[in-house]
Parts: sequence; structure tokens; C-alpha cells
Amino acid sequence: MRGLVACRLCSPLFKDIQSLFVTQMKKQSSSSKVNELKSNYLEKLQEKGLGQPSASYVLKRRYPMRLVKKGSVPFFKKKNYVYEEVDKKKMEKNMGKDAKTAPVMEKEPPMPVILTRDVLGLGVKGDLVFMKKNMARLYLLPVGIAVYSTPENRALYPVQTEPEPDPEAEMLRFKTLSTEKMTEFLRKMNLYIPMSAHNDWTLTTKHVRIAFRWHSVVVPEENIQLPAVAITGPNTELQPFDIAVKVKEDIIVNVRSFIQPWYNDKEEYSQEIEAIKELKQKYPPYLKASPEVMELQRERQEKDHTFRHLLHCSPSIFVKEACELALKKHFAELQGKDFKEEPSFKFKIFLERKDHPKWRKVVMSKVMNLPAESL
Amino acid sequence: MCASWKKLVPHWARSPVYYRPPPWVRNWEAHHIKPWKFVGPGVVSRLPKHYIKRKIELISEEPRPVHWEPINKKYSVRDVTTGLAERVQIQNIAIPVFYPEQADQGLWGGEGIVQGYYRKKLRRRSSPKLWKPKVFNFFLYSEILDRWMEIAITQRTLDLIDEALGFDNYILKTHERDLKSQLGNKLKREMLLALVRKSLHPSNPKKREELLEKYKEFIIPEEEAEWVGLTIKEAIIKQLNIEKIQELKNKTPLQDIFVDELVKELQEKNEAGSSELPGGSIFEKFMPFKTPEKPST
Repeated sequence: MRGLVACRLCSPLFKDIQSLFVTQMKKQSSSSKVNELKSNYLEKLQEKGLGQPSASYVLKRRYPMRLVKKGSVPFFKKKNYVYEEVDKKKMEKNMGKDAKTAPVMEKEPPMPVILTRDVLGLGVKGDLVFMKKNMARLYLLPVGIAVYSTPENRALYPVQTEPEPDPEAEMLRFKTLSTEKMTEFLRKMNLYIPMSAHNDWTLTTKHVRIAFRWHSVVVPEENIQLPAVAITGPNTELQPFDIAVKVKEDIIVNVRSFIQPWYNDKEEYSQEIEAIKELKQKYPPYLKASPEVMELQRERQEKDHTFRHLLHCSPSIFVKEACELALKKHFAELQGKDFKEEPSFKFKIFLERKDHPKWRKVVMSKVMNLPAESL
Repeated sequence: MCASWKKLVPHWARSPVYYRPPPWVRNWEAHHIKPWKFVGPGVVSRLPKHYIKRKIELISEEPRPVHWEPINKKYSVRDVTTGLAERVQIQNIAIPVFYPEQADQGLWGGEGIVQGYYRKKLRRRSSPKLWKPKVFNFFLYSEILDRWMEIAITQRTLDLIDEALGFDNYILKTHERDLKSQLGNKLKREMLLALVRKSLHPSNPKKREELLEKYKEFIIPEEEAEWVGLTIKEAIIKQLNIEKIQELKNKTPLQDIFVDELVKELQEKNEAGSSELPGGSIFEKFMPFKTPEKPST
């Protein structure tokens, strides 16, 4: 089928792709019906006095106290210290199970929040989104992407009826979530094209298609565009070049690719292992960065913080994106091009929290292969 | 055990708890304040008046209930079954809570430790129990101070921060009697001083103006902001230092006094006439630590 790219995350058939991601869109979408149900649920909680700030434990006296005159001290007996525990979370849960109008019941009641700018997967500027409390407290509120929902803030960030005309945003405004994931996958990946190191050859779309297949990506030859300068010969010097892949009629993605020399005999391969190691040090895989990038990160020394406790999310995803973006910048500067690509939703937040000690120490420890204590 | 075992075992050794829970602590005892010292001779009476006013406000009202829920009604009914319905007054008496030293180093949101007794079934004895809060370390960001801080925190503080719409608002809005930590008082003092002196983001003038408009209503004059949240011991030390500096400024050193007297004497003698002084030369007078002359060998 024309203008399509199937990913290993998706099923091979186009119809199955739609059915998978439509269900995911329902969970992530901020449709009007779901918001009404959640707001009704929160109103019912407040009527019963349950949506208020909680404590680790709530107690109640088993035996009431004697009445006290004004200005005097109450008289305590041992029986007045006998308490019973009151479970508030059970009352909140039971309220959700019995009520049929609130099927979207979670362990914790959600928190309404207004977005200040467009966010992939959540909504547009001015949307009212119900998030889990920890997601909003950690990722959205301290950075400024979202704001508490009060009547003052609703006037500052009204709901947009007409979108602002941005030519770059129009390219990136996807109609389904499948194209979002495909393009992110293609941006992140490094394509290694195996070509022989002995014979003469010139790159064609057939070689690229087979290389994509090794990386579990199916691309028809019509949607591949090679660079203008043709690549020829047994090339052992690994230098990256971009290949344009057409995901849809309007959407084109540049995939960074290398040539992997393929040796027939092991003896010749063993003779050139040292050369390959030097090349890998220059253009290493995900978890390592070039020394120039590491020096730039060392220069960012700001106030000293100490931390002992890690957050819930694992930083492995952010480490990959961090190193890729740094490498792309590095290569763009060498070639003399401008670097315009933007990172994904979660990583943007992770980047903006530059003062957060976890980002600095965890990323630098993995990039520099040093223990976090020495930093 | 024989029936008269109570005579053998003393009363203080019978219960598994060898001490009773602490008695009900008065508000002014909990904050280490002695209100009779505000009037009378002493350093506490010489403290600034805006500071004393804040301490009296601290004591006058009761804090927000944390580990118990008050009943908003005034009266309740008793003995409805027998038909004699009596109207009984409801008094919301607080559960006594203990705040350890670690609470001053974190923001527990008013939570503390409660010691009491519990029983699972009615026919059993009540056994002692300690109810403790769940404390964990968490990173919080303050816009005014422009820094991340690792603080020992409970789930209640995160809910209170959402109620107050921000971490800075939470610290500036809540009173000392609800914060219940010296760290919170210290942060409040820093924020108020930064707002008055305009020492916010020094490299970002745009953001400075935005925050000054956002926190307009919390600005206090600098003289009062220095004394916000101080304990009485810290305030006493501050007041004594201020008084000592004023004393030293008012005093003149003795050297200046003696030099002035000397100058007067010499002027009088020059007018009268030069003559040798009976006590010897001038330098011998003002050289008390004279070294003895060594004999020449």
C-alpha cells in the first residue's frame, strides 16, 4: 500500500493497527464525556467531605470525653486514650463501585489541570485534563507546562477553537497515534547497512530495504529516497548520512544510517578489529557519548545538591534520547547544518528540569561510565 | 495466680506500659512560650512588639485538626430509646499529638506521633499502640528561592500544596501553628526577605517582576520580616546582640577621655609658665611598665 510504513510495534495489517491505537486514544483522550464523568465524581466526593487532604492515619475516640468548663483543662482518663482507626480510602472506593455514573474509578481521585501549551498525547493549549496526581506533580506543574484549574487560570488559558497556523506544526499534526510512534521510532534508530568490504558496489534502494528489514521495519522501495551523492565502493570509514523515508504524503523522516562492512573471512576481520574499535569510539551506540559531548556536560556545574532517593520512573529512556540528541547536534555541527529537531514529550520535561539532581547525576554517570557517588 | 496478686505486684508494674501517655499540653507550653514574661522586667519584654503580637496570635487559636475529624454540630441527643431526650453539648477536644525533633527538619504537614490504646474486639483488653506517620524524602522546587530541596515529607503536605496552589503559597499562607516545623519558619523568613529586598532571580529581571506581582499580598516591611518564625531563644540572642552594639556605640573609650584631660593640663601649664614637674618628666608618668635598668657589666 502506498504511503505506509509498518512498524514492529504494529501488526502487519493496516486494519489491526487502527483498532489497536483507537483504544489507546480513548484512554488518553480528553473527550467531553469522560471529563463530565470525572468532574461529577469529584463533586460527589467533596459533598461527602472525602476529597480533602488526607493523613497517614485518622483516629476516633472510643469513649467520649467529659465536658469542660471554659478556660480549664480537660480531664483525661485511660479510657479516653482508646482510639479506633477510620479508613477514608475505603469510603472513596466504595463510592465509585456503587455509582454507575462514575465508571472511570481509579485508586486515587484524579486532579484537574489546564495545559499552557500543546502536548503530544494529551491535548492542545487550554485543555482541561484529568491526570493522576503524581504525574502532574512531577512532570507538569513544577516546569510550567500545566497550571492548577481555578477560575482565574481558566480565563488566562481559554480553550482554542481555531488552531494557530504553524507550517512546522502542520507537518507534525498527526491524525492517528500510529504515525506518531512510527516517526519517533524512525528518528531514534540508527540504520546499519551491511555491505561487502571486498567487492565494488553502489547503494540502491534494495540494499536499504533489506537493511530496514533487519531492524524489523517494512518499507516499500517507492518511499525511500537516497542522498544526492551516490555512495560507492568498499567503504570502511563509517560516516553517517541521512536517508529520507516517506511515512505519509506530507510527512518525511530523515533516518541516520551507517555502512557496516561485511567480511567473508575471519582472518581479515580479525586483522581490522582495531580499526573498527576506533570507529565505534567515534560514533558509539546509545549509552556512550563522544568526549566532546561529555566535556560540554561537565561544564554545566551549578549549585550542589545531594540526593539519596530515586523517583518512580527509570531513566533508561531518557539516557538514550539524551545521547542521541547530543550526537545529532555534534554531527550537524561537523557538517555545518542547523539542528532543529525536538525531543519527545517526556524527555522535554526531563530536559527542562536541568536543576533536578537526578538528571544530572544519572545521565552523567551512564554517559561517562563513572559511579554516581564521585559526581 | 492467687486472688491477692494485686498486693504483691505494685500498680506501676501491672500494665505493659510503664508510663502513661503524656497529659494534655497547652498551646503556649507546646511552643515554649511563657506569656507572663511578655510583661515585666526582662529581655522578653523588650522584644519588638510586632513579634510579640505574632506569638499571641499563635497561642490564641487552635490549630487545624489533622488526625481526627471535628463534628460541626453544637448539640447531640442522648438516651433516645427511653424517651427522655436530653440535649448534650458537643466539645471538640483534640487528640494529643507528639512532635519529635525530626519534624523540625522536614515538613510533615502537621502530622505527628500518637500514643494510645486500641482493641480489636470489645471483650478484650486494650493494648498500647504507637501510630506513626509515613515519611519519605521528596524533591520540591520553590520559584522565589530558585532551587530544588530534598525534604522529608508526607502525603498530606503534597495535598496541602495542591490546595494552596503552589509550594511557595503553602509556606506563605499557612500559619506557624499549622506548619509545625522550624524548617518551614526558616523558609518563610527567607522568602519574605527576598520579596522585600527584591533579591529574587538576579539574572532574570523578567521573571522577577512576574513573581513580585504574583506574591504581592505577602510583602511585609523588612524590620518585621527579620523576626518572623524565630523561636524565643533565637529572638533573645538577637535582641541582646542589638543592645550590646548600641551600648558600645554610646560609650566613648577611656583613651579619648584621658587624652583630652592631658591636653587641658598642658595648655594650662604653658600659659602659666614652663617648669619642671614634681613627678618627673611626662614620659615617665605614662610609662607604668618601665623596665629596670640593667647594671653595666
